[in-house]
Amino acid sequence: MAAFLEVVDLRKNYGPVHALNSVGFSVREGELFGLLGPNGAGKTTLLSILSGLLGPTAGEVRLEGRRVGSGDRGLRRLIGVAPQELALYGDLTARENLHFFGELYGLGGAALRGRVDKVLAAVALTDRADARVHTFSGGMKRRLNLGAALVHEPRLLLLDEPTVGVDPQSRNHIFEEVRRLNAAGVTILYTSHYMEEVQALCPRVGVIDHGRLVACGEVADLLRRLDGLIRIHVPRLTPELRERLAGVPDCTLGERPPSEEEGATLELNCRDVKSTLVRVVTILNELKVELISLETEEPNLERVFLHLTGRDLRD
Amino acid sequence: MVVWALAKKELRLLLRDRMAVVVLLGMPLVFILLWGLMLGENFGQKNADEKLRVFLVDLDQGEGLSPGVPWSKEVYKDLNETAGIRVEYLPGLDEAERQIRKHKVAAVLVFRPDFSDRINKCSFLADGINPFHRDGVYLDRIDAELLKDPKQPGAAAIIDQVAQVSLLRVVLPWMIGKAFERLSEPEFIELLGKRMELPGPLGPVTLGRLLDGYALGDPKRAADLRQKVGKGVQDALKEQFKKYDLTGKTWATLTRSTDEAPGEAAPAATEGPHWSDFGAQRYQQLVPSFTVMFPFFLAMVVGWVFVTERRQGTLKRLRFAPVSRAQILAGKLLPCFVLSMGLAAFLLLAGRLIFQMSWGPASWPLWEQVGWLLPVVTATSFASMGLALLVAAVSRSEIQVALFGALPVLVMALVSGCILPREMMTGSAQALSWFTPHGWALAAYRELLGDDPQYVPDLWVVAQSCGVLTAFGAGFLGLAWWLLRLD
Repeated sequence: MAAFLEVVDLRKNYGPVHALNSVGFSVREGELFGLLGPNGAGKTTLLSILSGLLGPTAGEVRLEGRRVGSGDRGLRRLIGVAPQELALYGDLTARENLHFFGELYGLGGAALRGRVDKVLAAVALTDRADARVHTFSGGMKRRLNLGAALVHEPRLLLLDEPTVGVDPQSRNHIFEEVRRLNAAGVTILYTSHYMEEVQALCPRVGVIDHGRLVACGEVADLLRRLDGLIRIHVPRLTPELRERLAGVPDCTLGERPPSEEEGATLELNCRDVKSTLVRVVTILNELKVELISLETEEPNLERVFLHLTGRDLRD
Repeated sequence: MVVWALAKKELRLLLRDRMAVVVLLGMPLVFILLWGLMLGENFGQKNADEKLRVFLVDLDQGEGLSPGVPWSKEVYKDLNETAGIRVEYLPGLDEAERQIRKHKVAAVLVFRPDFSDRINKCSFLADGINPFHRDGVYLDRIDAELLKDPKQPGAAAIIDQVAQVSLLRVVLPWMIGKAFERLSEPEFIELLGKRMELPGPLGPVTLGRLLDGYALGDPKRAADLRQKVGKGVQDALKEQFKKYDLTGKTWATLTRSTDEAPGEAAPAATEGPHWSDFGAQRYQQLVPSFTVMFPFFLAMVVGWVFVTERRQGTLKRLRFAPVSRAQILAGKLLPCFVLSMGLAAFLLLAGRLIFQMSWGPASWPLWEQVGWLLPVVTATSFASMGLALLVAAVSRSEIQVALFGALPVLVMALVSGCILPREMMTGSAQALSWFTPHGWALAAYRELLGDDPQYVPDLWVVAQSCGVLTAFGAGFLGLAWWLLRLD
């Protein structure tokens, strides 16, 4: 299937600073694609170029085969953007904001009024439709920010950190709406530095760091690159225990450096955390080892990032 | 459609701040009222009844044409009967000097004690006082003086000229009349008799000799003949110059202008300015001045709108939308233009209803008055809109809007004559006013706004001003388009 959105060798420089460096990926129509990266990685710059707000230094972006940013205003009608910074008129009501943004995209009359009502319901702001936005909480403003990107029924939705500073209830609501939209066929590009969000929502992700796309693919494939982890904290590490754990199949044993805490910590990297855990518990029982703590860690995108870049996602 | 949506949104945001709307509309009215109260009768005109006030101090102790009436009274009478002049006496020299020192009057004409005596001695004859010079009358030769306030040179110069004209009208006919009388006197005939030579049978002979010959040696008869010659010369001159009465010793009799009505006598002066004097001339100037000045302050409003839009991120959202740069700017400027037009219309209407200002010559029907005001209001609003966008283009913060908006607008208002009437400025300052859109707008308003039924505005001046205002607006817009960055 031809790509709906295609990014080819995109570069963006601000003087000596390379905000984006040879970024390339594609998104199919109807896909929910995540873009994961820490603050300053280049996500917002990338989204600005995808939306036509900025022009690239080199490379191009194509949407349905048409070049984005070439002055083709018709393309902008296909794109909805919820920017990271809230972009709403505080002295207008929620309804007035949505109505205005709808008019910018050529909507009007009863059709626009109906569409505004639907969007207000979708972002759960119907009961506050006629209140001025400056009276809203942060979560409500975020939801309305998303609503403003939806009012003209875009086919490509660009969401830049849509849950920053948002309460859990609003966050869940945003997630639900994103899933619903995707299920209805909207292609979504979701950027975040929250690994859990991206991993939970997006079947396919790109990992970006320092302007480079360091990984791109199905989440399951990316996670498959890493082992799971079982961390065992015991008061004393005996040679017998070490030997038995080292013998667990399909695992590699590592020992964490001593810390201020008492005892020793061992880490077992393994493909199958569940079955390995059963074996570990059996060994511990057989050797009657007193256990201080036992943790398991499935592969996740944060560990993928750490593995690829050597840095934590939140660094 | 998109432009209309943008404009609607801006208007809604602007009008939602009710306090701002009240201040926007109310402040110019307050300014007009306060300015009118503070400046009162000294604004534009010298007194509430619109006449030029001339102050006199009369110390004259002599007699003039009529017994017991000094020549100073003739001068007073001439001034008083001149249209547009109001004469007031000051009690004495000390009071005159005090008024001058305190800058309450620009000049005072003083008739000193020998004024009448000196006038009586003024004559074209060699032994009389010659009071004239190239520019008028020597005041010191006729024992008069004009005390002037050095801080009001313009006004003092006007009063000086008025006094000079009046003195000329009093002294010259007196001197002509006296000279004419001398034509029949024996001394003149004697002089004529010696100087005039006529051809005789035995060669040239003087007129005197001829007359003596006719008198046959009789001195009485000779004197009689001489008198007849003198009278004949007078009668001949009277006939020759019959448009004038050369025997009349006043301007009115000399010029035979008894059929012309003299100027109106000044009514009693009102004491001080009256705030309710709403029909006064000063409002005819104040209302258009502030009608021009205040719409230009909308430059700051547009600047703030842009800065706020940038700061709250909505400008970015506008740029995401399928809206061109021109549409965004048009959507922002249209409300500014409408507000500017609305503010001007409000002030002109308030000027008419509250301050009883006229909108044009009384002979024009209302539709014609409005019809000519409309292009002036429109062109002025266009210029203010252009300036507003220029301020928005160069400002990146609210402080910069205040600096780049308020300062130039205030300076232009000052230079153009909105705050201080142009007539009170020096020539070079008046020339500067033509470099501001305010100056051209004021010129158009002042050409149009008058209530004198005889006055016909020069519509070419109005059209020219509208053209220049439009050019200002286009220039500001062009510069702003080049400078403005939406990112």
